[in-house]
Amino acid sequence: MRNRRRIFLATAAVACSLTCAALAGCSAGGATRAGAEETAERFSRAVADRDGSTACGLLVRDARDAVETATRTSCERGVLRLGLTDTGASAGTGTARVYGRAAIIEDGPDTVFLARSGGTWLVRAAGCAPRTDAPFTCALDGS
Amino acid sequence: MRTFLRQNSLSLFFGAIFLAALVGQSFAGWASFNDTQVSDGLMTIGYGEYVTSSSFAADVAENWQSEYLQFLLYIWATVWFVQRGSPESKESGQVGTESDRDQEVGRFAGPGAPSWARARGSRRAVFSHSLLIVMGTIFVLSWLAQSVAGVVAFNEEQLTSLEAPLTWGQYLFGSDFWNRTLQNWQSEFLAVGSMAVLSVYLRERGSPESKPVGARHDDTGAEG
Repeated sequence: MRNRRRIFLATAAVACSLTCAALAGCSAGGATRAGAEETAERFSRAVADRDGSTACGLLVRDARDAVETATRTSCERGVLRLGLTDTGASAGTGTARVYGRAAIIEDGPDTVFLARSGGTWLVRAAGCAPRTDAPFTCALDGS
Repeated sequence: MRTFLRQNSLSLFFGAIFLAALVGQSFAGWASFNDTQVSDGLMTIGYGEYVTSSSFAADVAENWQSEYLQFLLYIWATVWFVQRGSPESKESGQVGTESDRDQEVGRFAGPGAPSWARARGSRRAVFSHSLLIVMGTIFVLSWLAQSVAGVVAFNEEQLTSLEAPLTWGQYLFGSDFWNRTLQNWQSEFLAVGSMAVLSVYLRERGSPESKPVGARHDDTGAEG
């Protein structure tokens, strides 16, 4: 009886570990999704308000570098010259999907990609349009 | 205590090196993950966050599922297939599940036999295949864990490259899942097959996995 209980407990421990491993792989909870959507919304609002400083503060380093390289000016000025329209996230129509430390808010040609740095979400790419069997093409590309 | 350690030294040894390897893998993976974070201009993550991440879970689960599949197939295959001269194999005349007398079940069960070996009906049937059942269950669960954690880790990389994420169903039939799965399977099957063949001609004195040093090469099923 004691051996059967040991076998049962050992099997249960393994099954529990595997279940936990699977759950650890599941998409992030609502709080993380909300954080990604909030960052996208703040970025979109900053661009709409012509607030380049706030908009650049919400970009990952490679995205800021990409803006400066593409526009040949500071990020604060350059980000307002990329022709980024409303991402859709601020209009409440974008759907945020989170995978680990990356997120996507799809809204047709205004899709936004985000990355989590520490506890903060930052924009990696914006103004992105899907292509068949190829990466998105983006007005702001920090990949 | 000393008796317990001596009588369980095999499982304790492998349990200890398993834990050491798992901890080592976690630190190596954490360092590698943070290297990528730094090169992407992002902040690094803590150890606790890494070991609960989909990336670590997928890496662990993909190895577990292949190991349990290896033993699941090995246990099953050695019932029905033989390898002449291998200590891992039965004699060719013993292929199959064998008689109740040979398997010491029912009225042929000796004193001290497990109670379910002595029982009739479903309890004897379940116990007779309990090893395959448990190994198979762990294999299925770990393969499921690999797929669930793997799709998240894969999509995280997809988004980093500005590519569209996949659903779990799409990932299950995709190249990344099957590349991870099959690269593990091929090595496991090679190892077991090698063991079955090499043990025909080679010896390790004192190991029950080997024939006695002086045993003939065509001597099947002998243990050292």
